[in-house]
Amino acid sequence: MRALLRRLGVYLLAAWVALTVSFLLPRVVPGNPVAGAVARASQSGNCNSQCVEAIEAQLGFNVHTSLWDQYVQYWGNLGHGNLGQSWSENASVSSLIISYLPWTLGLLLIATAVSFIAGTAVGVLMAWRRGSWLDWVLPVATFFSALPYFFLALVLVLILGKTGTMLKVFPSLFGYDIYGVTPGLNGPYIASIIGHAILPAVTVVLASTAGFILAMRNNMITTMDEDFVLVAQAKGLPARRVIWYAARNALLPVIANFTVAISLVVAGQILVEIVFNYPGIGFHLYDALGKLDYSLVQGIFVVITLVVLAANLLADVVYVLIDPRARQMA
Amino acid sequence: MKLGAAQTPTASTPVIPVLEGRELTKSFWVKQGRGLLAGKARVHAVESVSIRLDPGRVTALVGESGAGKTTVGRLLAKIIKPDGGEVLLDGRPAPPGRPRAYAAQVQMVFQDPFASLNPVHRVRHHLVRPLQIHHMASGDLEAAVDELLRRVALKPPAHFAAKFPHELSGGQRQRVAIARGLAVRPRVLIADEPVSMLDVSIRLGVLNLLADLRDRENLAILYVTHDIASARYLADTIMVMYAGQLVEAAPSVSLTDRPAHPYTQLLLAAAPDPDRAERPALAAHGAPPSLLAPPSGCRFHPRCPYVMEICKRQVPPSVAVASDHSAACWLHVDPNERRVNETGLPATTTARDLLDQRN
Amino acid sequence: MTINSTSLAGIPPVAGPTAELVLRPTRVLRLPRSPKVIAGLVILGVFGVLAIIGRWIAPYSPNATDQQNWVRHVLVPGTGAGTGFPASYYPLPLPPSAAHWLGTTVFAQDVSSQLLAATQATMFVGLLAAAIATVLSVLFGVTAGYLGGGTDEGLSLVANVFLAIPGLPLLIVLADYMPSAGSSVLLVAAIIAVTTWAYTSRTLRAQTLSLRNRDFVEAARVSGESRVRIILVEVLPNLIPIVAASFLFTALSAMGAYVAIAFLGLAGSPTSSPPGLWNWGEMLREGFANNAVRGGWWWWWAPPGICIALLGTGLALLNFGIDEFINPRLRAAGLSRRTAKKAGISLRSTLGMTPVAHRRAVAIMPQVTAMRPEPSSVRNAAEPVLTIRGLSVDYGYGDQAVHAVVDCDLVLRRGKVLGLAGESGSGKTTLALAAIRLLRAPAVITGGEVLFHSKPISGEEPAGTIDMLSATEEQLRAIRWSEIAVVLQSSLNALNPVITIGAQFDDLLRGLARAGEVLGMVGMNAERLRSHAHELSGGMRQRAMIAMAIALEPQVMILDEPTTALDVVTQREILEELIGLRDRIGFATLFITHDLSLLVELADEIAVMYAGRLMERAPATSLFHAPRLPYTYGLLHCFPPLHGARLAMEGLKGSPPDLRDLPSGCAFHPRCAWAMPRCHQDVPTLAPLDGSAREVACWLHRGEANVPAELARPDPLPSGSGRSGSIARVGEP
Repeated sequence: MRALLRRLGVYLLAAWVALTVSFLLPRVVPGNPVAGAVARASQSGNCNSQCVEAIEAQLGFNVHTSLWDQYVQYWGNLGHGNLGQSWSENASVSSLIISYLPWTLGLLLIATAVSFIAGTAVGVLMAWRRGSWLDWVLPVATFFSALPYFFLALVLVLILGKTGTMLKVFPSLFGYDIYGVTPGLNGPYIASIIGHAILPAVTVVLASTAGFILAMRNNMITTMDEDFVLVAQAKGLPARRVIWYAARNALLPVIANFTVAISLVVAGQILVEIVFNYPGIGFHLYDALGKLDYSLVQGIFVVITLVVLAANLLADVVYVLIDPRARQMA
Repeated sequence: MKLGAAQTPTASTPVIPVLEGRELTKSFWVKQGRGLLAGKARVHAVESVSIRLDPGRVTALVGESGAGKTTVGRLLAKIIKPDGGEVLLDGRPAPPGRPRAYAAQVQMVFQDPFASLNPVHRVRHHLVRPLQIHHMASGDLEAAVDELLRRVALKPPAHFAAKFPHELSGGQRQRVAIARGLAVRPRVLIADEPVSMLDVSIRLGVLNLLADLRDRENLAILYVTHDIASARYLADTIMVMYAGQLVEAAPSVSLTDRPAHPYTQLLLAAAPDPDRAERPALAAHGAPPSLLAPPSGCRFHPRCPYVMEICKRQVPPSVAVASDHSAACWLHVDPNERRVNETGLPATTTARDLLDQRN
Repeated sequence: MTINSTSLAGIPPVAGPTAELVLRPTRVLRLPRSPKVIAGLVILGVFGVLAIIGRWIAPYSPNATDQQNWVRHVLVPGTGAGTGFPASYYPLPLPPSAAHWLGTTVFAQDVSSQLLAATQATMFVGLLAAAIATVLSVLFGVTAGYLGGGTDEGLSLVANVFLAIPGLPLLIVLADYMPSAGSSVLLVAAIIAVTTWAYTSRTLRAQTLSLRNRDFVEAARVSGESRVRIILVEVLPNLIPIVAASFLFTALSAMGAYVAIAFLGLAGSPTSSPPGLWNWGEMLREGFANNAVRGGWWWWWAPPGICIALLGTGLALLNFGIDEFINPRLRAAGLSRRTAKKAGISLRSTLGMTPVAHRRAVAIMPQVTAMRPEPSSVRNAAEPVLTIRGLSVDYGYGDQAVHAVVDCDLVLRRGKVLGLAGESGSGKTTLALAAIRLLRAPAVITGGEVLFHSKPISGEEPAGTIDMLSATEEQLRAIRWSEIAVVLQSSLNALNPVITIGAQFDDLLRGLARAGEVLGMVGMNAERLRSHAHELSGGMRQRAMIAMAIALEPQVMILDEPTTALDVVTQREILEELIGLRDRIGFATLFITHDLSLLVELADEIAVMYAGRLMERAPATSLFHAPRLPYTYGLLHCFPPLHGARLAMEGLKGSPPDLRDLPSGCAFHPRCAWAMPRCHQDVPTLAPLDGSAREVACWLHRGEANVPAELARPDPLPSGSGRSGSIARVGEP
């Protein structure tokens, strides 16, 4: 348990750093870019004087209390789940994020699960069948791992998307058919959600699987050279069992490096949501940036950070569960 | 416990040793577990070890892995600081830290010649650096390098100086490592398992080189090893360590021919010996104790076939079993002088019985 | 691709030092020979050249527009003549043509010119960010790794915190609050660097930590080297491959990050004020924002994307090359079949089965031949159980092949211990593992036969002889472990680290009761079934391995340096147990070790290997008291005795040979005191001597020269039976 608590400490510290950076930046950057944003916000029709005040308080503009007092207040607000007011949507940031989050989390969970399982399996296969046609997966996977997510998204839209020019198979805009179905627990709505999630999910899976394939293949090749695999073969175990032994060990570094992987996937998904106008937090981050809705930007950043840290903690728990050496210490 | 240092110097050894460790004690904090998941625990690696190194003599420090022999070597080389005890150079306390003047006197040869030479540098670099650091041979570096390589029998020197470590065989690498140690013309060489990583057929060559350096250059050598046969071959004196403590010290032949400590007897019985008529029956079994929580009293008592009640309670003193042979064992203490009165055990066992039993 | 020294990492290390990453300066030059690396370098080179000369070869300025000629004007429906509305036009970009290689944008700009300008900026920012991040990570990583202690804890914490914070969102927030970032390339690069340095820093820290504990760093410290010099001269050069890999990795992620924030419009647009730079992300943003996808104007948005992917692939390929350089196992992967084919060998390589090449008479020989029933009087205790004839093994293929084992004959007999002695690289482990076909690529069995003579197990099953080299996978699997078990040197690596000892018994036995019983036979408590390998001491792990090996009561036990890594007392205990088990179960033992003195005590018969060949084979007592081979004689004199007077011993001159560069004739001749001219030319083969009990491969014993007195001692066992009690130290008066 101690080990996990220690990791938790690191993540809490990371969260503190991230949140403090997002607090300090608008206040310390020279020339205060926030001033312009506040001015623009107050000029637009959506933001009344109350709303302007809220933004000013949020970003520390025209606020005459000390930086420390603002900081204390900032944490107080965060503690109450109060992330401020979005002027562009005229709603509280936290309620907005709660409405965006299911889209993002759903897509993220499904896509990551699929790409992790598929990537790991293909990586294991490649190490198993060395020198077979599967070797061609390597350069292809390399190419895909180098593709930016959003570019891949554009290509898929072009080829498969209904807004593209070629096959026009899958819907490629929004999270569901906003004109044809009514949100709620009804069949058409759910079918529409699934249909609209296909292309974004395929994009994330295609782009992120390559990384898992390469990592797993390399670990497997290294692990297959270990003596315990040799012993498993000497025991006359069937190849499948030998591979399972090796794979279970080879998986450990992949999970240990999940931190990096999940950050990349989250970053990629933000861009994918933008391309597909998918109503998750990534798309709304982009939207808020365009509208200079700083409180929303800040709130989304906080939530993304927390989601990633939670995913990391989950990976650590899994690691401890499958590695007895870590379990002993934990 | 005083061993070695406490023994009476023989006629051939000068009164003041060139390097001496007195009551050296060292414990380490080790991480248990890996990476961020680790906790810490204290290992009592070396407990009150006294040792002396005399010019022109090889002292062997023999023990199993984890016995603390390497730690003693490192304490003497001042790579690590002792928690207790002191290191004396020429009878005077060595200055704190590891000043270059000390490095010029005491040098070290490491176990693994594949790891102790930097793979990215040529042999010349390894020899030139100590010369430069200590301002030796400021005139002609090349000539000094040549001479060093000749001293370790790597000929032609120019050929070897230009090589990278991976281009040399294990034995040649270890010779380069020894040459590096000799570059500063030290008076003490601490050789930590210098042949254990080498192929069998080239070990003797390196041991003979060390013997040669002792004889020709009057070096004081500490030979740290787990191989008691090679210690007998090379060393003048053998000291045996067990679980961080010295258990026996004697001239090499008398130690191997008449071991006084049960542990030394066990070591000798276990060592491969083709001359033996029959496979030996080990008197003791088990493994050395964890140094995280060493046993009380004599650390060997849980495995000792002759264990007595007192062994469990009190650390045995070092006893002279012959004029230059000492052992830290209650069996060699006069039964009347064993201050704690043990009951139910044969208090009359003596060193004589012990030796008789063995022979 | 050549099979150089690195591919030989497949040879199991024997007795000697463990194979570790050793940076060989000469190999740095060989790096570009891998096709992956060449492809990567070509891609990188092309982009590099384009980035540099792009300004001059670009046909137009990236910002130049020609609203008249560079777009097609389409009449807006419902306007123009006859509609009553003034004619209104909207522009359409032009597809690729001679004038515009990559067409134009909807803003009437030349795509190819933009692409060239963007190439320069993207690469520049990527490399600059990578450079900053690399400097940061080297500073943090190497300092933390080298200094250790509190500094390490602090710096590692910083790196871990940065690693946990998602990079792109942080980057977005940073870029968003610094609008001036768009115009300042340096600031963009710096911001990217801050969000990408942590990962490589962690890698470098781990590497430095392991380097710091290497003896050469300690040795530099002992010789009085200063700390700064140790880091710069001793440690850093060893990190170059890792720093290079980190740099490429960071460059790739930096470019990805730059393109991503540009796509989000946060890296400053060329039309904004102050203007940012043209880059691939900006091109994609413009295309995306102006419906280039829906409009089907692929020439606008596809080229920058393809460029990113190509450049990324180039960097990744180069990184592969470095990875394979750092970890040679990766290179050996997948290489085998191709190289083998090139060398004219067709391999049907299956996992866990060493391929056999050039098999003679495979088709003719039935795989299982029933053994003729023999009269029971013939079947004495020394009946053979494993016969190896003419076995040869190569590592690598064709011209690159290293002949690790050449033409070796061995016979293992029931209940007997056959000792196989040799130094590292002599091929003793290779020989043993080849016999059960456990060697891994690039090993190939190139000749010989290995026959396993099974004893009749019950009345029904016929005793049979199985040719291991032509056996099917199923046949091999059936023999492995149940008939032939293996114990390897390193028991820590031989046990699966993530499952319990008990679970590893599950592979062999039904029910843990029997497993506990077997553990008891090697002096272990059945409680240990619940332990993992890391919870046991070295001796306990080896005992557990042995317990597993005897669990199925095999007929043959192959022990590969089973006690070398252990202390002498533990070694002795385990040997005692092994002998006891042998007496109980009656298996034949192949005991492999470099420690000839140990074998003399333990084995019934000893075979000595040198440079891949068997050189002498004799009953243990004969071999010890009356060696016939100069090498055996020399080797026996490398072990100082535990008794008697201390005499100077000479040992053997020279070093064991390099298998890739063997001496001509007898491989031992450069080290042999009695070498004759013939030894320089002809390879001696094993031939019987003194009757049939022993064999020697040495020209001295072929009647061509007087046999030196040292090699002509009277054999204490002329009849070749039983161990003699007469003990006299050889080589001493």
